[in-house]
Amino acid sequence: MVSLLIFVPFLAALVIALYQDEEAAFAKRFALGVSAVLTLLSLALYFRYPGEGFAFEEKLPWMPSLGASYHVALDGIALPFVVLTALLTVVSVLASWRKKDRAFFALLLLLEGALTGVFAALDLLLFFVFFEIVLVPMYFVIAVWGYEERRYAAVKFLLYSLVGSVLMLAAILGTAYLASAELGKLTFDYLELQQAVPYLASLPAAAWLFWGFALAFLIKLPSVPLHTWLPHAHTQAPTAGSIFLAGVLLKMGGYGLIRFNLGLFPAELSRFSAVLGVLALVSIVYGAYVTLAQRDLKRLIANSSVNHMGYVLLGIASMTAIGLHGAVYQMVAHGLITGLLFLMVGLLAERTHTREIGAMRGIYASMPVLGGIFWLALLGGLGLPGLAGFLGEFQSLWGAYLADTTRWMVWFALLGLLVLVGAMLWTVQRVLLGEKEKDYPDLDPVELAAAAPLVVLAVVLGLVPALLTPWIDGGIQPLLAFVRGLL
Amino acid sequence: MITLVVVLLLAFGGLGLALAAPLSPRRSEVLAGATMALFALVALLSVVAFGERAVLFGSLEAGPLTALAALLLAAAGFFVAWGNLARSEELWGGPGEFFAFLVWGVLGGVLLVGARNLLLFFLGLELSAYATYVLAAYDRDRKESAEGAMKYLVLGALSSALLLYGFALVYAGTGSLEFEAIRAAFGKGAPLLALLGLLLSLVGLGFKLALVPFHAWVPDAYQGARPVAAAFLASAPKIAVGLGLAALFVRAFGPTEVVGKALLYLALLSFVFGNLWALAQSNLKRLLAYSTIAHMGYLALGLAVGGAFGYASAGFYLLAYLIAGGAAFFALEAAEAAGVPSTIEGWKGLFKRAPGLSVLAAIAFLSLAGVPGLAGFLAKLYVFAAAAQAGLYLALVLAVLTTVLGYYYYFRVLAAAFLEAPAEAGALSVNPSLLSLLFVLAGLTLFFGVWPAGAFSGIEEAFRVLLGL
Repeated sequence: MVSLLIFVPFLAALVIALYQDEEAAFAKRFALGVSAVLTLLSLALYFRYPGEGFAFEEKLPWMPSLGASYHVALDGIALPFVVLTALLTVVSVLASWRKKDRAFFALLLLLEGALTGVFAALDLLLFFVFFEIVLVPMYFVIAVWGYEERRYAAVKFLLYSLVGSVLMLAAILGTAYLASAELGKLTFDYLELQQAVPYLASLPAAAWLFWGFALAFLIKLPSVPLHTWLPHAHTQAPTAGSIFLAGVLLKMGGYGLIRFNLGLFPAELSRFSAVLGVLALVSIVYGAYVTLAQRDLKRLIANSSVNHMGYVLLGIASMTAIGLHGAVYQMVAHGLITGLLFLMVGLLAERTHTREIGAMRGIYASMPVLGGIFWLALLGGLGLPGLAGFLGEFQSLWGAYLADTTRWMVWFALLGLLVLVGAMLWTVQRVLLGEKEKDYPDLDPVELAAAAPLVVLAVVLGLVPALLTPWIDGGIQPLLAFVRGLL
Repeated sequence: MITLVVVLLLAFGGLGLALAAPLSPRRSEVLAGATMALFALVALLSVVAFGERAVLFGSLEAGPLTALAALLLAAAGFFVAWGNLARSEELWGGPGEFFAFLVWGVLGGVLLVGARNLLLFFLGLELSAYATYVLAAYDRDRKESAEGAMKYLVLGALSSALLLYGFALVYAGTGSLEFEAIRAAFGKGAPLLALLGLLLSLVGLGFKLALVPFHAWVPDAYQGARPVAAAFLASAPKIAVGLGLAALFVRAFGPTEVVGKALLYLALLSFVFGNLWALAQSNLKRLLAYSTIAHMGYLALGLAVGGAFGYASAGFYLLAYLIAGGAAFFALEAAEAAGVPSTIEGWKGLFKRAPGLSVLAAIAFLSLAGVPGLAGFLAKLYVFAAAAQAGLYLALVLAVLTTVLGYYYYFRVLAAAFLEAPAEAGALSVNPSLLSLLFVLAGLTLFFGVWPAGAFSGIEEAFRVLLGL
């Protein structure tokens, strides 16, 4: 089942690439159909999850001489992201309904397959393979269909990500070879490597390995000071690309930190938790201030992501159950809300032909539906209670407060929270409020269909956390029990 | 015995092709077809020869490693003969001895890998080298071709001289040209003279493998040659010398610390500087030439680690490079045959004019860059794993970081082809036989990139036998 979610998109991309159609009329409908079916499939897996540990496991030999296998499974941490990936593919296809290049839709499907693979892989090499494959379609999505400075943004995205991921490859190899002394065999299997965690922690190289993994994930997350690729990539990417970037690509960072840095190097994580906490704090505060200063609407949303992902890192650095829980919740919420924000900005920019905040006024008056949804998304972005973002941020901060190393940081993080609220409300005032300046066509049914699932989920997950909390618990609790047993 | 058949087939097949060339009316198609059939037969026989364990005439090893070399080299020759169909009507320069030299180049490689004494090793090397000198100079009406081939010839002769001098010193130190006797002498503690000779021969082989600082001939030779000939230059001698180096070390010199260290440093220099220099290239042939230097650096890293896994990682690297590197040159050939010059400038907007060719070329370039899912990535992965296994973590970090440079310059080519607008409009008609060749190579790249286990265990088995494990 999991393999279907990974490989059906690849096959669908191949079909689109081979089927000649000029206006992409077939390609977009086919991509929509495939991604919709896969979303239903992922939801079926979601609701059939037994509640704890890994499920839906599949394992096949792949490279026996290296001890690498095709090993995929999903737990409560990975499942929400798999569903999110499938859902955001549907949204992205709908958001790109006017595109006339079938290659674009093929690349979106490639992204979907590779991202699902990232979240499902339980073999470190397999994980790396998917982690790296993601870069190629994303590079082309930004570089071909982006805005004016797309080439620069795409190269910057590629190089930043690569430096992190190649060092992670070195760390993966180092981990497996060092652990082989303890395990008696060479293996890249996550579950088998976990048995060598105490041994790995005793090695002098543990810190190097930890940072080899952490660097890749901190770049992806991104955390200050490794975040400078993000404003460019987000701003220059086409709408669908921004949705993917914000919705899922950044999540690979937080997911990786929890899965690998916490799961394989818990002692190092607790040793460096103050460092990570400070990085998180700077991301939260600095991200909020930078958001305040933006004049480009898309760039504003991009910078607010730095702030949002700071809470994720803070929750992880706390190493408490509630903090980790909040980190995952925040990632899901951010995927929905920031995805929605980028969708709205994209649709808005298509109409106004500018992303300049100063050039927009009275959008709500001229487009009540678009303006209303945008308003809701901005409120979600500032963490309004009742919307999904609040629960994530609140739990992350609560978790941080419970841990000794990160307790003092919470007070400063609140400052960042306050500034971001100001930035978001000020954006509402500048862009949405005011007199109507010009008439624009409001959302058409396709655009509304793209926004609808995100709006619904942002509200539902804000009001009914029971739809997500038990799943996250099912992933976090066994992991924490394992970690606590070692520390 | 099958190995003997392979050798004879190559020797007399080449002779037959050389004699038939002037007589054949529609020269290229017939000759190319015959050459491809010959190579296919050799490849088939070498698969069968994998199980052989014998020594022919006391000097040629008939074993899995020789069979592996014959298989890879025959594949290289097969692809080049196929790729040569594109510009058959202007069978450039001579009366068609191109194919004969292709066959002899392969023969030289097989002899070199299977050799059991220094003399045969040197003869095999020279046969393979002379074949490539001719191929590099084949486009004789173009000045660049003559210049590049001349540089290649002079530096190649110099390297051969160094190699020969090194072998002479080894002979002086150990009193024998036979690998077994040399090994016995080295086992008793290497005589200084022989060790010096070994290092000198490493310099000579470094030239052939295009390792920094012995790489100077590479860019000019590749730029001067037609892309199909460059494809052969970039693959066949590398396969032969790469496998031959492992065989020479194991059979003749045993595990010598000094040589492993020296090779490691050459490897580091090659992938660091090869990648750095490639960044600055705007001519695609030169870019590929410098990137070849970098790739040979990664290969040498695997060889320097040694052992069954280290050598096998180098062997798999050769396989992946044969496919993807070859495909990149064939893509250049296809574009040149359609009138597109091999420069980044010339490739601008290629996707709009020849989408099929561009996508197939992109797969080759992505594999060379090391994108997962393609053979080039796993080749690097195996080499890196070998480095990690040997505990060479500094080299490992340097190696992974330099792959980022590789991504940068390969993506520059792709960015030009896919993102820029073409200077001239109009679809290009790409030669169908080259397109089908590229399609096959792309398929192989994907196949070995997803399922390497079969090929890798075969290669590893060959080196296990070599090491006597």
